Amino acid sequence: MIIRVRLHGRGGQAMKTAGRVVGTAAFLEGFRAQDSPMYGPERRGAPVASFLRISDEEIAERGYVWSPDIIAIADPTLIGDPRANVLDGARQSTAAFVNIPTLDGIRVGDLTRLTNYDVTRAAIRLLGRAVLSSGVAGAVVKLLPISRQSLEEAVKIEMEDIGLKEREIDLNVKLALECFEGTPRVPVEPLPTEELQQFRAVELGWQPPEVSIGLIRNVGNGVEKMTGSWRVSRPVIDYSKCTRCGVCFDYCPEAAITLAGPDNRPVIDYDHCKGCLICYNECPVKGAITVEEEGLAEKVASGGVV
Amino acid sequence: MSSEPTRYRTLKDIPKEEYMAPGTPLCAGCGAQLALRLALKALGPHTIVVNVPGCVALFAIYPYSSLKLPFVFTSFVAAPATAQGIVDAIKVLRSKGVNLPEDTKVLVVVGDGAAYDIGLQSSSGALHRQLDHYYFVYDNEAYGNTGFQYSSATPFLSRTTTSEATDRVPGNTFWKKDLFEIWRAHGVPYIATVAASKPVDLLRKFEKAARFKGPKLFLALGVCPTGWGSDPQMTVKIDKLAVETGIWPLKEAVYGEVRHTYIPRSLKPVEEYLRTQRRFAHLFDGKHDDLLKEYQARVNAYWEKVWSTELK
Repeated sequence: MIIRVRLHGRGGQAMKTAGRVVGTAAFLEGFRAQDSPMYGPERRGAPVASFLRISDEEIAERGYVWSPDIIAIADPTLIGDPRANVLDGARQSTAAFVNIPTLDGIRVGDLTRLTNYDVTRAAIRLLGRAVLSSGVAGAVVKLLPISRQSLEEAVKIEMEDIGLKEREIDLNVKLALECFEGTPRVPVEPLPTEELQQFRAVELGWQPPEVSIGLIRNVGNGVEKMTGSWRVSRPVIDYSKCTRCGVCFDYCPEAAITLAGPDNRPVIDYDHCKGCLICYNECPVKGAITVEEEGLAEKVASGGVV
Repeated sequence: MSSEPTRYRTLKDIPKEEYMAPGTPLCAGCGAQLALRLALKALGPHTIVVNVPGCVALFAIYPYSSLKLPFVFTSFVAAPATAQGIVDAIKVLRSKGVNLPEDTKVLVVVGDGAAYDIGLQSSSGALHRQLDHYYFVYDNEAYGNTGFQYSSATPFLSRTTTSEATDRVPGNTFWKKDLFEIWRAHGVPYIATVAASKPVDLLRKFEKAARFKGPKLFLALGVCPTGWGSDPQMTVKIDKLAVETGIWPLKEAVYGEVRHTYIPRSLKPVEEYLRTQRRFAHLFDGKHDDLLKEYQARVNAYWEKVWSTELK
């Protein structure tokens, strides 16, 4: 029997490490374990995933977990994001852990086995920043037949491996155990391997060059991607202090600031601003650009969470 | 450069037109993207972009494109050949009477992996043939798109995932390859280094390059918050520090004749730059002072030479 887990987060939230911690914990518990991150561009803030298979016999499968028995969601704004594909291959009986203070009003497709813990708050309290690896690992381990001791040991091994100092390792162990204790257990029902959807190789036939060649015209339709959801902090311009110098426009790597009107008033395009805060850092006038934390509540209200 | 006629005198002269659409798939605070955005402003709307695997390749994940310019994606070593094909096609179309804008240009955009390592041989061929094109390298000093593995552009002592810092090894033990000098040996009309934190210098260099027929080559520092372990909001500050510590000299070479476009009278200590990035964090445990001194000495030696030849 294989238990298949998929962890979803945003680049920088350390879901790759979370997967490694759970994999190591499973191994220490005596299971066969396989963990791997999604291969692809590593972009801070963009939706990423990592995969985990745990079994008491040899694991012959590889790659992407298409039919998860457990989904862990480190960032609830991913639930409604079509690019994150959080619900890919999920069944009604798939268990889902969501990093959120409460499940009130939260729907994850039609999944019924939901559980939660506020890992972000715990991480900020203990580590001083929202690095979620140990916390999410603790929560996921709670849903697996893995002991607290193996979790603790796995966090130590993996945190040491990425070069953390002893104090930081201890805090990560604390975080993992807090999330382990705090996450309500929900039943997990592994899908028998013979019921796995079978994928066949797709055969690509010959196509003439005008169809098959990778030529992209000058459309600039990348603008349809709303990267504003990557933002953790929001730069806000105080127009009473702004001198219209344009430095924020000059240094915005995103072209998300335009100078509008006859007085060259800078306008931030919040649909696309990723919140790098270069504008805030470079603005020569004190207080003309301030930073506000992006409220989860607003993202939920604006349809980010379905 | 002040004596030469230019459209770009101050930051206010940065063109408002954008040839990059917001909402790219690249990281928040990407220095490479900022440098490219600025370069495109100088190159203008009649630019055909050739690109190879690397971070910027994400600009064109079908069916999306983040550039308002034609974009051809090809393999690592095939960029110069692809550019050659487009340059030739433009010639053929013109000979058949097709009316193409006079300032139609071909721009190859590659990362340091393609420029310093995988594509060096084929780009050397294009330089040798004096192919009339622009070649823009966003140098984030490692294979940034695949998890930050070492490249020959990785600086001395940088930690990468394939040049780990351990008790025995202080990160990358090799010095960064001097691509500028390799290019210069080809006898091409125009080579320049640029930095996004100095936009006026950057724009002027592209403006100046337009005068020349043949290869026009640019090396842009690409501050990489994800790979370097730096704060995204510090990207421009770090870029500026690279220039002011003398680690990233701003210079150009016209038919091999080198001239620095920014000559600091005194250098900030390299430590100020290195401390802003986690890839160098292992150097500040008190056990690496000799190596830091070596780093500083190398930078000093470079500038001693510049000061003695260009500041007369």
